[in-house]
Amino acid sequence: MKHKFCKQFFPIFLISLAFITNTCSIINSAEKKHIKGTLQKGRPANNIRQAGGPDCNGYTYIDSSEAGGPFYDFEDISLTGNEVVLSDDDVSPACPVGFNYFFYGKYYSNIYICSNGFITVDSSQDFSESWYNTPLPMPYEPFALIAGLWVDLNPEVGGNIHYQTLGTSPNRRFIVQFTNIEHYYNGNPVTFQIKIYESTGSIEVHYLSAPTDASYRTVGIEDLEGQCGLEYYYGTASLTTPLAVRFDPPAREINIREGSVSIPDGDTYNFGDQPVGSNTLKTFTIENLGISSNLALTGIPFITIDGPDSAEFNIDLQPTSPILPGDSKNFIVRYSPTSPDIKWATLHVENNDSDENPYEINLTSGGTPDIFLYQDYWEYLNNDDYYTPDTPVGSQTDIIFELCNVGDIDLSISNIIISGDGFSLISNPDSIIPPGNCSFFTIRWRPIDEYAVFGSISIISNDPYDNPFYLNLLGITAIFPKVKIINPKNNEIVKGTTNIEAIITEDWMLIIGKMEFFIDGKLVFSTKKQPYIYPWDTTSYSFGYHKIEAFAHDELDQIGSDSIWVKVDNPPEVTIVEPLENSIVFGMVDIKVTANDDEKIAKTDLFIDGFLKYSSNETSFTYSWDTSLVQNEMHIINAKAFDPAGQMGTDEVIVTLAKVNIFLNASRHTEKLWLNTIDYARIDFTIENKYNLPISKILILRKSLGSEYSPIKELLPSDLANNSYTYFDYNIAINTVYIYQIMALDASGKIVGLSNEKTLEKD
Amino acid sequence: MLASCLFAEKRAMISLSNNYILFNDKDYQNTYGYGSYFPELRFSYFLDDNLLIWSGLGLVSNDGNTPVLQLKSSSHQYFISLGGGYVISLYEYVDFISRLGLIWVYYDENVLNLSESGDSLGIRLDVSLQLAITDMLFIEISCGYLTASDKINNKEIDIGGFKTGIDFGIKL
Repeated sequence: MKHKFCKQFFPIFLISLAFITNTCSIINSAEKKHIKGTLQKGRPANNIRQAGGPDCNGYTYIDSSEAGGPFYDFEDISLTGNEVVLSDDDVSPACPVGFNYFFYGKYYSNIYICSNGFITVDSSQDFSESWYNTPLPMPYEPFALIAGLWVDLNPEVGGNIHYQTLGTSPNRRFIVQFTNIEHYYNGNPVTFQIKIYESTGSIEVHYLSAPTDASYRTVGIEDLEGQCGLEYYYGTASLTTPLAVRFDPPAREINIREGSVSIPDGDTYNFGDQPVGSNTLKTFTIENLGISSNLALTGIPFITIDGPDSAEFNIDLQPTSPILPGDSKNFIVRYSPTSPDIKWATLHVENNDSDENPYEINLTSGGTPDIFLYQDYWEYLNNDDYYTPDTPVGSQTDIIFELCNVGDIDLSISNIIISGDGFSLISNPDSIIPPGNCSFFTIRWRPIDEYAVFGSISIISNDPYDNPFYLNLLGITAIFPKVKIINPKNNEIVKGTTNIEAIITEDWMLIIGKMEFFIDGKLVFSTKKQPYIYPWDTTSYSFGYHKIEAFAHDELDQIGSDSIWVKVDNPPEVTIVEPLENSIVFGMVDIKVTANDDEKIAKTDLFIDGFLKYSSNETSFTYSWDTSLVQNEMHIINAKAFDPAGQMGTDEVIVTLAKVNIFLNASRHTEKLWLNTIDYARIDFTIENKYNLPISKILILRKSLGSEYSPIKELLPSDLANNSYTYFDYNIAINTVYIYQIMALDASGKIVGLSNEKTLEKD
Repeated sequence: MLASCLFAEKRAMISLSNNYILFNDKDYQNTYGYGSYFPELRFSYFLDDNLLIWSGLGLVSNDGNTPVLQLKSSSHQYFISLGGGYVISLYEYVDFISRLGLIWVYYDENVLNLSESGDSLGIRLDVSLQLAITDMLFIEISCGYLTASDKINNKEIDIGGFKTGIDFGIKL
């Protein structure tokens, strides 16, 4: 993920950094290492120098506007070259160059192409952040790069990249071409190609089109460590095209190293503190980092030593001359001290490298270690005072000290002695700290009461001037209000709304500014007035333990705290989801109930009009209430949920049962004929359908005692006159008790209305 | 005398009466109406010029609806009559005849699956004017009253009532 803020401001930061590092050394404050190099100062836009260099490796550059500069020759390989498909901030696999090419003192056969407009010989780097280009050289990745036009390019959105080797040996040239590659953010495609020449080691960049996108772009080269390089351009302007820039390696370039460590011209090499009478031999290597000319050693002899103590430094082995390009020769210096003093001499190497003749190295020996003590980037001198951070009683503070050796020889730490109650040594530094290196040690401050403690650190070392190195310690104890949570109690089970109350048990005569309550690390209450009580609604907290903390701030913002754990166990919450309160229902009524508890639901009972209808231990269930045989209109549905602790939650809704009201009346009669007498029942009923429920048919039901209802007459709604009907039931027996009831059904056969029962006693 | 002359050689009469009877019983009236047709076949035999004996076979059959339940019901009354009469000749072709006799009636009533029946004896009185059409044919206009009663299911019932009718007959 790219951060646009960084993309916008990081170049500005780097410009500042470049100016800061104009002294050619960058200090990493964390490690306090001195990194030497030859940074080129960043230049303002549109102020391009047409020629420049050399850098510390002898590379120079020149552009096509200068006499002797490269001739602009854009050889389009977009149709003939090998295409490299890259995503944003991507790097290619190894691209074979086809010949061994020279780059900063070494030969390579492959190259790696980065989507952000540069190529490199080192693929092991992290290219994910290569979208921000820097001035060159810069001791941060990416290293070892040839920045044709290093800027945040994105091949994913347009353009393509090709490479191809042209020409015949030994005059081949390798070309990497970026064709219409767009900037990451706003297009403005660029087209340029980088050429590497086999015979000369020169690097050329030919620009067909290089418009700006208002962001910084970099043109230049850099070695494998980012310490040496050339910057042709670093700015925001467009490059005026057509344009060609050539970077030339040195024809010859002298370098001297001991082992793998180069010793720049004018630097000092220390043979160390050697005992008198000993002989110390060091092998030095003279390298020719040039590509085309021999390095000739012109002194007689080739290596000479002079200076006040030159008698004690001797050349045991002279190198041979000349040294071919890319080749090296060794010579040996013997140091034979005759006294314990610090010795000085100068080694001279006369040669034909025009900018480093003679190449001189100061030779020295002996010297002392020099102890420096830092804490949090502050330097402490011998016998200085150190005040610990305020630390409450019962807690501790670990303090890391950095012990550095800025002397000439190894600093040997033999002991570190800590004194003072509450102080202890947690970790030791390295016993040997080489010159220029640092090591860390840690002490712990753990106050035992509210009073300050004096202590000390004594560093026993071989530093002749600061031994022991003594640092006075003053252990500072934080004084803070003492607060106690008096309600609820630790491990108490709470529910509902519980008051959290804290009191100040010791204020140290300071005014309490405010009291804060935290629950599970989140501030829930802050007050400046006593009593410090917070009504805590626990229902929104989960079942289980929660941490309550009280923080009392005094007027100096010193903080005292107390904490407890309580267990929240609230009663279940039960909800009758359906039907809704005051709703009108009919037929089969689905009663949906949900019950939640911060622990679990043990049981949920469902009541209708006070009668238990259903029980479940599920958190959600549906009960189908058959209202067909239910008479009353108003009904109370009640759900009660219980948790394992027996706590109960309840919910209740009142519903209106939409029924077809049927009012039934019945009576016994006798009809007398001439000879016969007919006993019959007169059935009168009236239907009231105020909810307009669908009625399909109406049944007149009759039963005798001990039997079930059976229909004796089926009617259609249209058979009724003014919602009333009279029916004569003459199929009755005199000595039988009959019970009548009227039932209204919908089309599906569901009962939508049921009358009262009417009993006719026997005559 | 004239009648005797007219019927000097005719000793018997057969006639078919088409009567309309008004019922006495209120319950019967409620179901079947106040009256109905009462056809009757009647046979008379002259003992002399003025006295005769006669017999009749009549039927009253009615269907109706019960007043409340509106159920279909039916009732039948079969009458067998036997009695004597006296003839007075008023004009050459007109005789006045009075008859008195006993009746035996069989009755029933059916409604739904209910059926009741019974029989009873009663009396009957008829008076009529007989008009001779030819030597053998005549028309007789009559009115009369017949009555019988019975008790069924602890209920007193009346049978019969006032009747009037016209007979078409032949003298033999």
